[in-house]
Amino acid sequence: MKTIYLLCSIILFFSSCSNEYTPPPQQKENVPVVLGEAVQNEYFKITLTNARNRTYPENKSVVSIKEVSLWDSSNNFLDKLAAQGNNKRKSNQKAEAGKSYILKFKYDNEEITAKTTIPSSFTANIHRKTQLSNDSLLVELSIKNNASSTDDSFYVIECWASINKKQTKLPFANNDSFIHNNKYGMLSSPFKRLFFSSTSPQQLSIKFLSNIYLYFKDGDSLIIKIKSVNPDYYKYLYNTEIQLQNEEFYLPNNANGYLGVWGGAYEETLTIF
Amino acid sequence: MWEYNTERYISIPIYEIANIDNVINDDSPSIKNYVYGDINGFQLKDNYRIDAGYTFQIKGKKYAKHILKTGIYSLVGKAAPFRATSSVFEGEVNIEEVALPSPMPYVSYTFKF
Repeated sequence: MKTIYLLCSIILFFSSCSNEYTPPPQQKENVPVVLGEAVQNEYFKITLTNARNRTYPENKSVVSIKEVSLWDSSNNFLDKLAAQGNNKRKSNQKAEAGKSYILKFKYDNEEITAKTTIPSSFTANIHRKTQLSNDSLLVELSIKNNASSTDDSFYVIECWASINKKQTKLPFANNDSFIHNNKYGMLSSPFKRLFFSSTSPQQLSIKFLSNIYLYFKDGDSLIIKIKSVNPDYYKYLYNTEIQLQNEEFYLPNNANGYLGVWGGAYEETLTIF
Repeated sequence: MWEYNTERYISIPIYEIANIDNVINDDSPSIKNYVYGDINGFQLKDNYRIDAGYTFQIKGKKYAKHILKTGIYSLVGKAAPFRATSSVFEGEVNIEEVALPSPMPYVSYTFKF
């Protein structure tokens, strides 16, 4: 009896410490979400959805978006993005490296514009592939921007395995000090994306997990995707990666009238095997 | 003792959006990202508390002094939260404030020599 009384007292004591509540509604109830990546020589594709403000009570009404148009940086009309179901839209225009583009659409009687720039080209090469003693694989590569610019270029690196025709992002390790994952310590290894910025050519190494060859059979492949991206898109990808590791880290509101990102990327692919 | 606090500002997640990988790679379909409204856009609730206490002083040998303090924190009202977190649970924003339980008795003893 004494134990139960003591236990109840302890529960009562600690339950009184915490106070939970829902904040009053703030900001707009619905906001458009633009998510997409414009890659050189590929058709423009985006997903356009609606984000409900979670401080408002549940409301099933969704703001409809009728027309999305694509414009160049001189404000010349290029194309309309056709709806493809599942909130996806696609244009028949292809993105060109070094050019800027604008998306325009009406949302709740307000004109929303999203801008992006496809970065200029770069060259990437694999210098060496070394099979280490524990059957892990070390790949050394170099990246050089082809444009003569003094501004930083922002790069994102991903590794993709194609096993039984199924694409999977493969985690890997890196120790180079200029890589932002290591420099700022916000992301922990193994990484699914590497982030760095540079004005000069860079050499870096990627180390895959031990016994990597056990997972691959004939016909399977391992590739490295290197993307040069615009600064806003870089920041967005970096923040989303942090949020995947730390739930209490929230994405900033980009204050452009929409959420999400319409990123521009110049992509190169290197095949390891 | 009467104490009144206007509380601090925190950033809270108010929008839930799909992860960019769902769109560009058709990857991780269940992963969501949370976006906050304004930086430090929400102010926690103000709070007040009344503490009551008494100090006993007993003189010891020569210069020695025994001081016994006792009382109750937050006899009325509640203590200021020492931790505040925000989260999205089942589609709704929740704010959780964690504070010392109230009322909270205290005893302290000091020996001076």
